[in-house]
Amino acid sequence: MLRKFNNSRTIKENIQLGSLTAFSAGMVNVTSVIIFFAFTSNVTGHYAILAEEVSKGNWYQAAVVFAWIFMFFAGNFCSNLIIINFNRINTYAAHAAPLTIEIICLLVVGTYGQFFYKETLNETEILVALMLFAMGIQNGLTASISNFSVKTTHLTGLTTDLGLLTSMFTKKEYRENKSLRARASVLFAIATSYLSGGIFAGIVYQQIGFMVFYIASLVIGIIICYEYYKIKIRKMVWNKKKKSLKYKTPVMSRP
Amino acid sequence: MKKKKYNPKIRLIYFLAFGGCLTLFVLMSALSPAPDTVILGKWQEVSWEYEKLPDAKEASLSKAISNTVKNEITRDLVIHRAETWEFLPGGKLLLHLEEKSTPLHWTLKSRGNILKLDHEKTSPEHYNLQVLNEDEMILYFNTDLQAKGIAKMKFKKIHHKDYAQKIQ
Repeated sequence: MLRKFNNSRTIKENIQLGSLTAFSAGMVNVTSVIIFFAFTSNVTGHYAILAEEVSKGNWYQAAVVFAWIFMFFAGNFCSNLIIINFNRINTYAAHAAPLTIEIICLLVVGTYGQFFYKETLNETEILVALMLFAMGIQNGLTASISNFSVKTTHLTGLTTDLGLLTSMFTKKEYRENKSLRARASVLFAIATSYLSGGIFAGIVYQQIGFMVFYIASLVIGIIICYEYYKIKIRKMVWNKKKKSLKYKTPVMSRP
Repeated sequence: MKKKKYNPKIRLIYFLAFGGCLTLFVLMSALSPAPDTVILGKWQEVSWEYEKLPDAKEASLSKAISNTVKNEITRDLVIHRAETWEFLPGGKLLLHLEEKSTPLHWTLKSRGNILKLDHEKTSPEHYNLQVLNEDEMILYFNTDLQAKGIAKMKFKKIHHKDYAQKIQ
């Protein structure tokens, strides 16, 4: 999921990465709507609200929404900045770092909300900003490493693409196009996971409150650990092969 | 590996762009006070009316809500029959009706456009803070009573200039 970059990625890897990240994004978004009455994984609505608040002359609210949009932008910026600067040194680390930052943000929101949140307006604004930053980081990472084919929080674009693809599949020539079918599978997996994450969070929140963010962090943690485990296994297999070749070589070279 | 250096001109452009965003944010924040400070004080209920009505036939009738309907709408709400709302710092709200007052807890959610009222005995209620300035507050809330749409509550602020002069 995290080791490969751009065009070297398989459909399976894109589905795995897209599904898991979309599941956590759905969880975060629904929880923030329930608690804070603000969306945190999509910014289209925030642009509309910003325009509305500016036109009404509500400058304080406009500033808040502007800051939220900026935080989402900053998340994407940081994520890609890490990737493009460290990708050549260690691809896995460059891809895991943004997810680690995302986990830290979600853990901060979860812990603060569970133990310190007094429901003041300032706290709400800052926590929403932090979640938007986390979602920006995640969206930036998935979009960047999948060559812009996976965007886990951008469901407007995803639904548009799904609509286009579905209409294309009415023609046989497109139905038989493997890359189009694969793209549709990725998009469908993301949409389903996002929705499932949202429903799951909506149900679980009633029982565990802010601890939902720990589960969202855990889902992201699974991606990092799974990849690390795969790298270890690969290394082990490679080392074994290397060893067996080492022992075989002298036998082969005997006269 | 040789470390690549960023072009100073590019650095400056990025610095100015991010700085510009920060300045814009600070300026906008400074232009008007936060809603959680504007809301503090006493608010007198002025009128009740429907903002949205479900069909054209009803929309052509008067949008004003009579006292009987108002009492019916708010029967199960914590704001039932309250005439004056007093928002105090620390999230305390007093709903005054004649000489009786009911204490509640208030908080603002989202960007300050959702008013949440908590009462020990009932579940939290949420109102949409549509307009809030030094003189006027308008709250919206959804009501399904008689399949009606959104109810609009208008308040005007009670300024205590005399009181302020007295304590000076």
